[in-house]
Amino acid sequence: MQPPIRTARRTPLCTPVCAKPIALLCLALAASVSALSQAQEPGNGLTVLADRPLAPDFELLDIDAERHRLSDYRGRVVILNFWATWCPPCREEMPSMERAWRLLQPEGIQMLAVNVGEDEDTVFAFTANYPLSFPLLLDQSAAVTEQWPIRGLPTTFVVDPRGRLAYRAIGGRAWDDEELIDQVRALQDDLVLRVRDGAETRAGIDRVAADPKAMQRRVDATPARRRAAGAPQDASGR
Amino acid sequence: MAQVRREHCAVLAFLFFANALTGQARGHTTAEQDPQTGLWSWTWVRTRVSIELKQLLPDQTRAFFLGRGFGRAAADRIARACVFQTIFRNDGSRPVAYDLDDWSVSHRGERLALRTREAWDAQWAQATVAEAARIALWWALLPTEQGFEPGDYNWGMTSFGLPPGAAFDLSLRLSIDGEPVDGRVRSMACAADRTAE
Repeated sequence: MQPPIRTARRTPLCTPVCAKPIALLCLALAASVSALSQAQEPGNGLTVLADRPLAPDFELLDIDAERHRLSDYRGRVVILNFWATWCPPCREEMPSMERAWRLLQPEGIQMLAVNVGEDEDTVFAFTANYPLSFPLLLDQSAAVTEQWPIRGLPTTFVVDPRGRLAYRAIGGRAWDDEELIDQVRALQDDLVLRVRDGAETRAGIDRVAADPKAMQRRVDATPARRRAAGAPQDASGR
Repeated sequence: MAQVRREHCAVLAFLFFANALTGQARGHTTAEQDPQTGLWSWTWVRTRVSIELKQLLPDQTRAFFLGRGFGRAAADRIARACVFQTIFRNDGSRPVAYDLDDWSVSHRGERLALRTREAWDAQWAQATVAEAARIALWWALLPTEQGFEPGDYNWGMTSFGLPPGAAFDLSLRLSIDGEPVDGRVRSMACAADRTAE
């Protein structure tokens, strides 16, 4: 049995004397409707994990049979996404992850997506509709995923260059959002600045970027560097 | 006469605000029918935290789980257990948490627990179900407990364990910034099993 469709009565409720309170009520209702209309939009921002727990290490094969060990990426920021092909918000965020990857890969930031519970053929078939160029790792038994603090899919962590969990996002995100990308870059910039200031070893920076010169230009462009060099700031303070 | 009218309006405005405030405290529910599929969805909202429950046809659920490696009988058992797609959003400014074990449905005067991941998994322990299928069901269902920080949102299936077409009320409980919040979504219904009709 389905509930009946309710229609609003259009009888005038009262005189203009009480128009103001009713107008306020209408505003409150409009706010509720606005909250409802966001149901299909991705989530916002990244949750900062203040205690930065150490990321559980793992070793998994990707769909091209290449081995990836998380600790091998130490010294670089890693965006680590847990997903499945059947999961609607996972599918929804994938194109934005690909766009973010194209922006961040030249800066030495790594992106890995761990598929939970599916086989290589299923994931490979998925890429026919969703062309993705970052590594897609297979955790067919979900044994690795179960070691992580994850309850639902998708969940994404941003691992800092020291291998600690810096940010978390539950649910899909627009990964190419400028603010979100800046949050990720800040982790990388932080490490490079520490290397330059002598707080980290030179070996650290060698792992930071595939192209150290490009990375250097990025570091010089960070707000902290520009301020230190006395460069004029733009309206946004950069 | 003007005095009476002003008093009448003041009472009316008071009632509107009182209703709006208590509605906000308990949460606000809307029901909507998809004009194309005829399926219903119910959305509960409070302080920019929303839970949308969308009916899934047993056939949709059956097809999904057959595709994930379940056998016909097992897929059918899930499909006929009143499965909804659930979209949980925290667009507010405070952390939210829930535990599905605190939720219940009222059906024909009975109060029943939701069928969680753990409950389903215990069933498969006595049946022959492929590991891939069990993993898919586990992750496809809304987590039994979950915390959502501001900006988080997620999807997952909820299973109410009622027969297709059954009408029920849902009692839900959340914790918003540590404070318990109870809500009730009335007059919900499981999608009918159209292939069985």
